[in-house]
Amino acid sequence: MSTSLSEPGITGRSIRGHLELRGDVRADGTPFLSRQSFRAPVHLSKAHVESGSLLVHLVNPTAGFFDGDRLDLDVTAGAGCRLVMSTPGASRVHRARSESPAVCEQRLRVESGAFLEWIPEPFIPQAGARYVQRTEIDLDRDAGLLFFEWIAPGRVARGETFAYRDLRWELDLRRAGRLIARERYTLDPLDQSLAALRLKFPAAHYVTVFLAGPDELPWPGDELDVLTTERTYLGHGPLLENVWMIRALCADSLAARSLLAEIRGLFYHAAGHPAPRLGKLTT
Amino acid sequence: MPETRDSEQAVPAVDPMLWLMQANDSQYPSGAYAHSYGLEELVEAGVVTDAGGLEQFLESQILPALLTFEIPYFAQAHAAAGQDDGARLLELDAELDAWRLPAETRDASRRIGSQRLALLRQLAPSPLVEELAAARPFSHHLVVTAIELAALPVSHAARAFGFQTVTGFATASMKLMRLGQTACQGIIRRSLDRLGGEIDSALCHPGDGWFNPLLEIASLRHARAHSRLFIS
Repeated sequence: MSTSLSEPGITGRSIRGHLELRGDVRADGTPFLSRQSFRAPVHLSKAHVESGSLLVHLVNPTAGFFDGDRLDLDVTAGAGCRLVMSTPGASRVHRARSESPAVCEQRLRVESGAFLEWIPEPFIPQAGARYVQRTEIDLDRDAGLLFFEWIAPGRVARGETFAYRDLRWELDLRRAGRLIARERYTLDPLDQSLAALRLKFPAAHYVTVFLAGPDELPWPGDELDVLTTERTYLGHGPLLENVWMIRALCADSLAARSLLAEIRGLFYHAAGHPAPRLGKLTT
Repeated sequence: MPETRDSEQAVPAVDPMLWLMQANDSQYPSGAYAHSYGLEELVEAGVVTDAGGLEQFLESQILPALLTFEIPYFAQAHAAAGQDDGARLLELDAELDAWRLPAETRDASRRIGSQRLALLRQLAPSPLVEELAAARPFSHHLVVTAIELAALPVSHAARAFGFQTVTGFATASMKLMRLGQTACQGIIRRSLDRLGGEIDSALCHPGDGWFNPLLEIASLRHARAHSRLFIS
C-alpha cells in the first residue's frame, strides 16, 4: 500500500490530483485496500468494513474544482471484493476564470465476482462553471455494479439554476469487453441541450443509475414504478448483458436524495445483501 | 456452375431518385406507423399536449438529436455502404445498441430495420444486403436506410432519413392528440425547413451524442405501460 503525496500537484493556479485504489479480499473473506495512491484534491477516509463491504469515503478537502484542475480516478474492485465508494459532501465546480474546464477522468473496473457501488453526493456546477467528466466502467461477466450519477442544476437557493457555462459528460460501460452503454453530451444553457431537463421541472435534478448483478438480478420493476410521483419522473429497463438502467428527473434535491435512498434499498434487497450504511444518503 | 439467385438475375438497375420516393412513401410497409418512439408516454404524462407543444418538442429535442448524432452517424453508415464495407456496417450497428439505451428504442429501431431489410432483399437485392441479412437480420433502421439509399449522394440520403424521423413523430401525434392533417403537415413543413437549414453542416460534423433524458424516460415508461396504442 502506498500513499503518494510527494510529487507537486499544483501548477500555476490549477491542481492535478489522482486516486488509484484497489480492493481485494483476504483469505478469510475480509475485503481490504491492497493499494491506494492519492494526491490533492483527493483525500480518503479510513476504509472500514460495513455489512460485508469495504466502505471508502472520497473526500475533497478543497473548496471544489476550479478551471484547469484535473483529477484522475482509477478504482478497481478485485476478484470477489465488495467495495463501496462514496463522498461525504457535494462535488462543486466553481466559475471558470479561463477557457480551460476542470476535468475529471474516472476509470472503474470490477473483476470477477466483485461488486462496486459508486454513490457520490450531488454534482453542483456553479454559475459560470466549465467541467468535463469522462467515465469508463469495465465489468467482468459476473461482476456486480451499482453506479449513481446525480447532477444538480446549480446552487438553486442562491438563484443559480442552470447558470453554468458548459458541462461535458462522456461515459462508456462495458461488460466482458462488450460495449453496453455509451453517452456523450454537452450541456450548454445557451443552446437546446437543457430543453429536456427544463420541460418537466424548472430546476430538475438529473439522476442516472447503472446496475448489474453478479448473477441474474431479480429486477424490482413494480417497486421502481411506484417511485414516480409528482416530484419524480422515472423510467427503468434492461440494457444488454444483464445490465440495467434507471433514469429520473426530480423536482428538487430532497426528491433526488429520497430517490437514491429508495433505489439503494430496493437493489440491495433484491440482491439479497444488507445495504452498507453511508450516513447522509441513507437516513 | 454455381447457383445464382433469381433476384440477382432479374433485378434491373434502379433509378435512385425514384427508389428514394418509393422507399419513403407512406405506403412503404416498413412498419414505422406502429411506433411513436416514446411520444405516446410524453402525451400521456402531459409533457406534450397540443400542436404548439409538439412543434416545440420537435424543434428543441428531436431536430438537435438528429443534427448532432443521427445524421453524422448516418453519414458514416452511408459511406460504409457506398464502399460495400459490411464489416464497418456491422460495427456501427452493434455500437448503436450502446447509444440507444431504452430497450424499446433499440427494439423499435431493429424492428423497422429488419422490415426494411426484408423488403430490400426483395426489391433491391445486392451482395451487401445479403451479407447484412445473414449476419444481423434485425439490423438498426439507420444502418439499413444507409444501404437502401447508398446510390444517392449522402446529402439526399440523409435528408430522407431525417424526413422519416420527423414524419414518424408527427404522424404518430395525430393519433395521440387533437391535431388535424393540415396542422400536422404545417408542423412537418416548418420542422423540415429547420432541418434543411442545418443538415449540410451536420454532415460535416464528426458526430456527438445528445442529451434527452425526458424522451429516454418516456420510452422506458412506455415499455411498462398497462395499455398503449403504439409498439414504442
